[in-house]
Amino acid sequence: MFSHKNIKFISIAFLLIVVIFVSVRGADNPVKSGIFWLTSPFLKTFRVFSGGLHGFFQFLGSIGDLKNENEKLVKENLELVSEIAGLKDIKKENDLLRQQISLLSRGDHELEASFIIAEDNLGAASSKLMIDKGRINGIREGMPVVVSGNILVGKVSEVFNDTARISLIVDQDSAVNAEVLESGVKGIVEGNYGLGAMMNMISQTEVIKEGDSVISSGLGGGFPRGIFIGKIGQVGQSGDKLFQQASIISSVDLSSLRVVFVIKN
Amino acid sequence: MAKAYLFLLIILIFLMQFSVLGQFMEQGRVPNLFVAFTVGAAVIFGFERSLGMTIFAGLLMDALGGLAMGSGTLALVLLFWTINQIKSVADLRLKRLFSVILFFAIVALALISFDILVEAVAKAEKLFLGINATVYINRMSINYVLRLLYTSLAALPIYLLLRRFSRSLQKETAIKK
Repeated sequence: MFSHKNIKFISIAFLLIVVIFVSVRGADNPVKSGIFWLTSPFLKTFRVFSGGLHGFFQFLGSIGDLKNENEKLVKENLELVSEIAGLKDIKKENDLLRQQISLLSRGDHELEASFIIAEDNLGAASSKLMIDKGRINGIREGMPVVVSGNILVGKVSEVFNDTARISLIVDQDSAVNAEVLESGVKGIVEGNYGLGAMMNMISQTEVIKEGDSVISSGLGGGFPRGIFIGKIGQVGQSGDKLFQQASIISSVDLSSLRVVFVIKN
Repeated sequence: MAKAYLFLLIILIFLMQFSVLGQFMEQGRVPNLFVAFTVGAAVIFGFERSLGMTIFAGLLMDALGGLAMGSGTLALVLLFWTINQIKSVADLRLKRLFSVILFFAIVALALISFDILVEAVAKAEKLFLGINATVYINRMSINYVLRLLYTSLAALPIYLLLRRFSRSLQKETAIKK
């Protein structure tokens, strides 16, 4: 019944269970750190090279659409120019008011630019990514991660010496205190198994509209106030009908992130 | 020399899985090269000779996966042992169409089993160790069907490479003797 092969298998399985027990207590961190230290240069090289190759193929495929896209961009540019003129005026007013109440300027975040070097794609969707900056670069657990334009994409969930793991806002374990910019309605943006994000815990008495902007509220610490998360999509009821909930449409394609910024302060 | 090539193959699988494939494929469709490797190694080398390689590949997979170190490896070893229990696998040779289809079916079944095992390990960790690790795999989707297909297709070149390495290993052993 217990052949040499079976005894070997049972011993290995038992040993691995012990490894899991030890790992959950954080003992695996040096091992992971060592593996990433050895492999991160290769991961980065492969990522950059394959990203370039993918970009090239995408470019080839999109040549036909370039004319339409160009027309769309010219139109969008004109709209943005007029919007910027209006915003400059608001900025002056904003700076003045911030000076008066001694509030730190929003642009004063200390950002650490990082390359995405790998993604955990063994599940249904990749909601965890690896970046090429770690403890030695001042990265700490819980720091918010944004992309250009101050758009929130996730937070740092695990830190190693030279690398760190970030959990995207669509990750099941992600939760961000959020606020609807237009109405001030508060809620929590939570991940939906890596497939999307939902704004939950919205009071039944509040009114939210599709297309409203959602920002981080800054409540509970962790995330500074005012980081753009996305726009409200479909509005519905929570499972227990006690709250409203809404899907969040991110303006960033989370599956094609290349460079992200970690907010260090 | 063949052992060095095997080591490089595992490293290449690790790099391809986590750094390259995600850029070219839609989320949820990315093949699991580690499962493809395990099936190939189980068929070509058998339990005794490739257990070490499977554990090494599993630990690399765990380093980047979201679960505790050892979780994916345990699922991979369980899968590896199960494949070895199926005696017909030992006689599998990719020379006939039927064998190729059978090989694809084994890889697809191995991936389904692996996903179930990983989910079970994650649930056990949550229950007994209090780790908040969630593994979600939607099996009723076109993405999952494509994932099975892509993994099966990816297993074929891995299998052929392993078969080549196996022959080299046999030659090296014969020369030593």
